[in-house]
Amino acid sequence: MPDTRTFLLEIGVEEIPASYLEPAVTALAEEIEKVLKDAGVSHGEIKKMWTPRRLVVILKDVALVNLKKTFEFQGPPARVAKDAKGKWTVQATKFAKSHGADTAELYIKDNEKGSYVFVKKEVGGKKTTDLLADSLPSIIFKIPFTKRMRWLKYKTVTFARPIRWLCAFFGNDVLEFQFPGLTPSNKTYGHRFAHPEPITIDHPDEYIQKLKDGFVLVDQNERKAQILAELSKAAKKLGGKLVENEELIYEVTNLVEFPRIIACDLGGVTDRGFANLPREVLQTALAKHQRAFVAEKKGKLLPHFLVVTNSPTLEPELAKQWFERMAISRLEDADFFIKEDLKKGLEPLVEEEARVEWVKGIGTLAQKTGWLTELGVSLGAKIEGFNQDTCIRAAHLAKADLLTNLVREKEFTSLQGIAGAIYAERSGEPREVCNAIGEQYTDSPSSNESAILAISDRLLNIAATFIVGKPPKGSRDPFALRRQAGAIMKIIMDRELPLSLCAALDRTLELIGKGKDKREAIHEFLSDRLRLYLEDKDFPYDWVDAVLAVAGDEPYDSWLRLSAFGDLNKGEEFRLVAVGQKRVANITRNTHNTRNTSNTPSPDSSLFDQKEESNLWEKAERIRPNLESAIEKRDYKKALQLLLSLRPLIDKFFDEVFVMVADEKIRNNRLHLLAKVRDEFLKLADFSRIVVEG
Amino acid sequence: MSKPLSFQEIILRLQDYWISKGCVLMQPYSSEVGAGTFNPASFLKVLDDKPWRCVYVEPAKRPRDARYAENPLRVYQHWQMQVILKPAPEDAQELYLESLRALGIPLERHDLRFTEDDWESPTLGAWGLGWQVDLDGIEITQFTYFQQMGAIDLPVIPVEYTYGLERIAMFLQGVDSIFDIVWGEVDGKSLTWGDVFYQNEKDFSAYSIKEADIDYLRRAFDHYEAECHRLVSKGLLMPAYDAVIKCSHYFNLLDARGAISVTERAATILRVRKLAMAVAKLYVGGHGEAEDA
Repeated sequence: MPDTRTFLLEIGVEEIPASYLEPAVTALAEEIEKVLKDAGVSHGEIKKMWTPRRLVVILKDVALVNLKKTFEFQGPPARVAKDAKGKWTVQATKFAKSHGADTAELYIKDNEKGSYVFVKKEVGGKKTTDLLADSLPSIIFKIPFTKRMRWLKYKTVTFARPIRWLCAFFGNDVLEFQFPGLTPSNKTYGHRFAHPEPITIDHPDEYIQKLKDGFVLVDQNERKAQILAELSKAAKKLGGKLVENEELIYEVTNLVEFPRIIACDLGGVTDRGFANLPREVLQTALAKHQRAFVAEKKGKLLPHFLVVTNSPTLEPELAKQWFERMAISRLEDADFFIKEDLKKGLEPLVEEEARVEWVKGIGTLAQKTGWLTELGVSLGAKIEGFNQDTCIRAAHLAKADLLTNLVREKEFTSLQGIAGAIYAERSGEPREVCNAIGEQYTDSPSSNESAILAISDRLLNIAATFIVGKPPKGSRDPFALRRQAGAIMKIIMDRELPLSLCAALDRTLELIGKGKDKREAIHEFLSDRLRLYLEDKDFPYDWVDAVLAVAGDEPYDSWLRLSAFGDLNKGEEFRLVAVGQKRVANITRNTHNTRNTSNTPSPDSSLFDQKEESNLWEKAERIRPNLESAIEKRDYKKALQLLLSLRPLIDKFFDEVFVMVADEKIRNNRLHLLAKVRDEFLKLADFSRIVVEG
Repeated sequence: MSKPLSFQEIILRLQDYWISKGCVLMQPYSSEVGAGTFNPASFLKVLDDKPWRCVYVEPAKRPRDARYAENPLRVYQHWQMQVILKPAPEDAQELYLESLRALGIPLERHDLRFTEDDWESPTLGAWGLGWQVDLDGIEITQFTYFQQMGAIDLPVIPVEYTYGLERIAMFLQGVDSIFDIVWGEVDGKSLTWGDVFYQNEKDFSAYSIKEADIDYLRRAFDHYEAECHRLVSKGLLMPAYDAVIKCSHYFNLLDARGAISVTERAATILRVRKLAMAVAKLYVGGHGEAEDA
């Protein structure tokens, strides 16, 4: 066991946006671990923590020095490393120098990419403190942020917000490193108001506790648990139950260093006429504007709200006054918008859609509504018990709420759909129609009509965005098309919908009347999202490959096939099938196309001269009707069992029969036989794509 | 409890505070602007690499916010206190918090937050990162580290604090409406914000929403746009910049009159932005210290 220390790094910053924190600390920790790993420095448990004012990584049991290891470094290609006379070139000399080597140590070796110059160096025995001190500055500036800023004169020093202090330890000693404008020290700072004085840390182990004494709960998990517990307690005290909101809890946890909950009063709500405010509107207004929580009793919201403040020292009676006034002012706005909207109703807004551009170059919102209706009807036609009238009515009204006063207000845009449902309900639309309108933007619709509307809307968005030339690229996906396509897959699977991607896409493009040239690109995008969805569900990527190669058009069907594998994958059997099918695939690759299996000729049984040939063929013939009926009925478990019964015969065949004999007739006959057997497997999946270890 | 600070006392305290921190006291600019950032003491002064610290009050005129004096929180013209510190000091946040203490706000007893808010002025070709400062849930200040102005990467990063004076006054005085803010006293008799500006709000609302002559505003916009380019070519910086301000205000009025469609809106913003960029370039060229973006 090597001698070890605890490493601590705290980057003290001015308040960093809530959504930046977790990705930043994750990246920071990953980079530190990578540097240590690459250098052969062992370490123990890693702790990642953050508050709006600090990014923290603590690594336990970090070795004092790294292990000695010999590394082989690759240099420039051989052709530029030596000149015509066989002497080392400037480039080669530079390469040697960069590794502290002499040209005498260089040698040339071939790898899979060609011939290169190499040098071997023993590295190690370096102090971990030196390693960390050398790499931390660049690691810190490599942390990715959506938006970065400068605050010093240096153009390359950028971060999410200014860095104001660095606290760094290796064991009991401050870990010193160069940093623009700052020197790492043993000092940190407590809560901005409750403990503004610096806090001196003597040892990393006391860091968390000392910060706690300074009114900072640096561990976000602890903060979150405390917030949740106190919110529940406060809700109970009001005589109700907390309405949980996971997203909001996450956000407020990242907005405070020391949470303190205050209960505010919407007193006189009834006097002010908010009693009729829909619950969602009330909740959204409070969540968006004050990041406040609400409590309910018997399904009704209480006239209170709970604010998670960042002040351990505040006076609730004093502080709550303005939270209440501002909340009431927002609710007054909402109430005003809703009253105005209800005066008008949704139907006149549907007419106004003709005057609103949906996507420039594609059409108006009115056109989208028309396409949504028709696409819904087309997709729904395949679904048993689908209520076309509900779908048509819901699609007709679906987009009208985008033109309401409420949804047009920045704070309430997230109520799109929900607002439509509320207005539709108040004007007496059937409940199913209201539900479908309300669920069009969710990924968990509660009926097939809702599901089809939700899918159609996203298909139109994806197609239109591709057509105007703005598909997602790299990390840029400004219209969240990936998320939308992922939602399509999720809805299809959850509701077990028999939809074909090709048919749905063709119909979408036909309606828009544009974008035939983008069809392939969109199709590939959707297929990729299907693949990712399946891989996300923990199906191994090679199984997904195997299934999508033969059955990728109907997402739910792919899912069923993969699920059948899941039951049978255990053990050797599956591996052997894959091995066998790889051999078959390799041997038939040049002669028998897998794309058009109906052209595969049947073998001539009169030409069989070994029993392994006839045995295999007879068995394949025998199972075929059952296999086809199993596939037809989507009983993929049964289909797989039938195919597995061929496996021993295939192995036997390869053990005993030599395929590539000189006699062309025999050879071709054997290839036909193998290709025919392969085709049986291809009815379920392309097993040759399954990766076999070893 | 002692009498809360009046509006004029808030202005005086903040001015005094920032003067004590090395700022020079400037005055509002003599033209209609939508935000204090348009004042040349901000827009032009941040473009070079020389140290600069200033404080001033600026009336922000926003035709789209005109509400006929009927909305307690939204008005055609509100007052901003603008502070620029260049370079931004290390203790930019602490200095700001101290200014609130100078107003007698016991920060420990309230909930003060620096809430994510990325500031951007498309017409000025400007952006920066920082926060809105929320005091018990009310936004009282915009706090921004400028990064670009006139589409030019700033050679020295300044910090800008824009105080919403009405918000702070409402907070301190405990009133629910801008119109009820006590502005000061005339001969021992208190004068409210509404006493001073009610007429202003009524009339400018009617003007902004109904009466402003759209044809004239369009012509004026075109005229000042051409004039700006012409003046830039003559090297006349300040008159050229005044033309940018005029265009921006005419755009705001046209927008409030509902005379600008969604697509036209983006295009018009771009036209103003081009002017701002040309002027910024002229200023930087004349000073020769900043880099072009």
